[in-house]
Amino acid sequence: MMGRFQTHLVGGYPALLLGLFFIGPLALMLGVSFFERDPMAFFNPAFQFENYEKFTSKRVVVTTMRSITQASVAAALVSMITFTTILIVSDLSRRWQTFWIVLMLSLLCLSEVIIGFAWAIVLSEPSGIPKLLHTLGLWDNPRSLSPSFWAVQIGLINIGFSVVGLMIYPQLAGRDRSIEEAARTLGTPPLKVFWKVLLPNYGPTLLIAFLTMFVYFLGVYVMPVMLGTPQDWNMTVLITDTAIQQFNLPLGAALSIGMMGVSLLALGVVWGINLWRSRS
Amino acid sequence: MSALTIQNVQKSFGDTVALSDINLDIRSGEFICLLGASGCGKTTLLRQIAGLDFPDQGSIMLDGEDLVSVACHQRNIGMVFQSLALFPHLNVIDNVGYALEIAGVDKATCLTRSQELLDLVGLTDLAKRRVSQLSGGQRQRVAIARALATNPRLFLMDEPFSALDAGLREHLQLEVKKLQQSLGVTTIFVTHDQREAMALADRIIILNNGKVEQAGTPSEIYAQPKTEFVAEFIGENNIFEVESVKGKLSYQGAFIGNHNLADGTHKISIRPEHLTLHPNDSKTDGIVAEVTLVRSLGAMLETELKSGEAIFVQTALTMDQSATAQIGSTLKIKLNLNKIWVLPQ
Repeated sequence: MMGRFQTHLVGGYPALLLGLFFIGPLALMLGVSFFERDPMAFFNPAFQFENYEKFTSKRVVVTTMRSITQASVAAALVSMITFTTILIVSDLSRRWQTFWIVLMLSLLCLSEVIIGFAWAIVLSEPSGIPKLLHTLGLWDNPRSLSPSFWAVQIGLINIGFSVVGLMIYPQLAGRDRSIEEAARTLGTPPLKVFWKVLLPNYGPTLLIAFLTMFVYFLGVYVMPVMLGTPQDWNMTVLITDTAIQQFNLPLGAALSIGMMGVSLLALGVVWGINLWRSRS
Repeated sequence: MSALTIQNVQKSFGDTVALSDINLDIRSGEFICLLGASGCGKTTLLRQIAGLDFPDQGSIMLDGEDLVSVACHQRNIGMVFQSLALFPHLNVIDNVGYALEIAGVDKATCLTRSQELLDLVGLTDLAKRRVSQLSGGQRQRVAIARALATNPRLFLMDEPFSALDAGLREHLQLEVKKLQQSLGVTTIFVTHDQREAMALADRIIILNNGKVEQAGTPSEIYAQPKTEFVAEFIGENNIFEVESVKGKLSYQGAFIGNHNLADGTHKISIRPEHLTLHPNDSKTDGIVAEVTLVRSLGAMLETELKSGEAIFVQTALTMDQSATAQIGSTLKIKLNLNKIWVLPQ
C-alpha cells in the first residue's frame, strides 16, 4: 500500500515538471519584462512599465495584427485541408491508410528549414512552378511566387499538415459511418453530407485543431523569414530581432508576454464558443 | 403504401457471395422480418433496398420503379440503423425534422410535422434535449420518428432493438407493431431474434448463406418448415429419420404409431410440445429414452432425453406434468403423429 506521503510525492512529479519547464521560465520572463534596458549590458533590474507602453506603437500593433491574421488564416486552412484529406484517407483500405499515415509521420522528420528551402525553390521563378507554367504556355510573364504572404501560408500548411493529421486521424478512422449513411437515406446528397453532418459533427475537433495550430503558428520563425517579405514577418521575428539583434531583452520579454496574452485570448474565445455550443 | 419486388439479386464482396439469387414479393403495407444468423446477408439485402449498396445483378422494383438506378438520397426510404445513427450535433426535434429541412420544407411546417412525430412516439416533452441526454429507448423512438418524417415509401429497420434489455425490447416491439399498423407503411425489419420476428411479422423471410430458405407467415414457418435449416433455426425441434412400412412408423426398430406416409425412410420434425412422456412400462407405443436434463422455463418444463445417439427435447406446461421426470430414469416418448412434419429431401 502506498502511503499518503508517497502518493503526494508521485503527484508532485508533474507539478515539478510544470514548474521547471513552464512556470519558472515564465516567471523569469515576466520579471525581466519590467526591467530597464542597459545599452552597455543586457538589462538592469527595475520595476517600470516602459516596455509595455511600447505595445501601443504602430510597429507592435501592426505586427501583432499581422501575426494574428497569418496564424489564423494558416490554422483555418491547414485544419480544413487536413480534415478533408484525412476523411478520404480514412475511407481507404487498411493497407492504403497505413501507407498514408507512415508518409505523414515521415513528413514530421523534415525540419522547418528543409521545408522552407524546398518551397522557396518550388515557388521560385527560375526553377519552380512559375517556370513550369511558363513552359506549358499557361503563364506569359512568370515571376517568383516567393517571398509572399501566400508562400508563408504554404510553408505553414506544410508543417502543420502532419500534426493536424495525427490529431484527427484516430477520430475519423473510428467514426460511426452509419451517421453519414443515415443522412443519405434522409435525402442528403453526398456532398451536402459533408457540410450538414460531418463538419458540424467534428466541429469541436476542428476547433481544437485550429487552436493548436493558431498558437503554434504564432510562434513560428523560419517560414516567415524564408518565404515572406519583411511585411510578412510576424511577432516572433520582431521579438527575436528585439532581444537578439537589438540587445533589448526586457522589451523582448514584454512582447513575449503580450503574445502569450494573445494565445490565452484565443483559448478563451474557443472555450467560450464550446460553452455556447453546449448550452445552445 | 408501396409494394416491393426483388428479382434475382446477387451481391458479392470479393470471393464472398453475400446474396445469391434473391427473389421476393413484398405486398403493400406488409410487415416483413428478415431473419437469419449473423452473416447470412440480411443487412446486405436491406442496404441494397436502401441504396447504400448496389447489387451486382438483379432488380429491386418499388411500385414498378427500378430502384437500382436511383441514388440513395432520392429513394425516400426511411431507415433505422442498428447503431441508430442519430446526429449528435442536433437536438431531438432537429434530428426528427432533419429530412424535412433537407427537402426544403418551410420552417413552420417542419416544426409542426416534427412535433406530430414526437407526439406519435411519446417524446413531446424531450424536443429540446440533446440526443446524448436520452435513454436507449428514447433514442430508439427518435430514430423511428426521424425515419418516418417524410412519409417514406418503405420503412427499413436494421436490428434496432439488439442493444436493449429484454423488457424494453418487448415494449418497443409492441409500439413499433402498433405504429406500423396505424401508418400502414410497408416495413422490412431485420433481426436475428426469432421470437422478435414471430411477434412482429406478417411474414418472415429466413435467409441462410445469402439465400432465401423460406418465406411465410410465422405459423407456416413454425409448423411447416421447408428445410432442415428452418426446422432447426426456428424454435426447438426434434428432427430424426423414421421408417414407414405399409403405414406403420418405426424409429430404430421401435414401433411408434400408424401414419399414412409412403413406404421408405423419411426425415421428420416434431416440436417439443407435441411429445408426451410416459412410464417405461406403459403400454403406449413410443421411443424409450433416458432423461438427461430437466429444467424449468417458468410456465414450461423442458425435459431432454437420449435414445441411442439421438437427443429429444420435450416441453410441457409445468402444471400438466403429472410427475417430474428424474434425471437418469427411463421413460417412453409418445409422438403426436398428427403434428409431425416431413422435411423435403
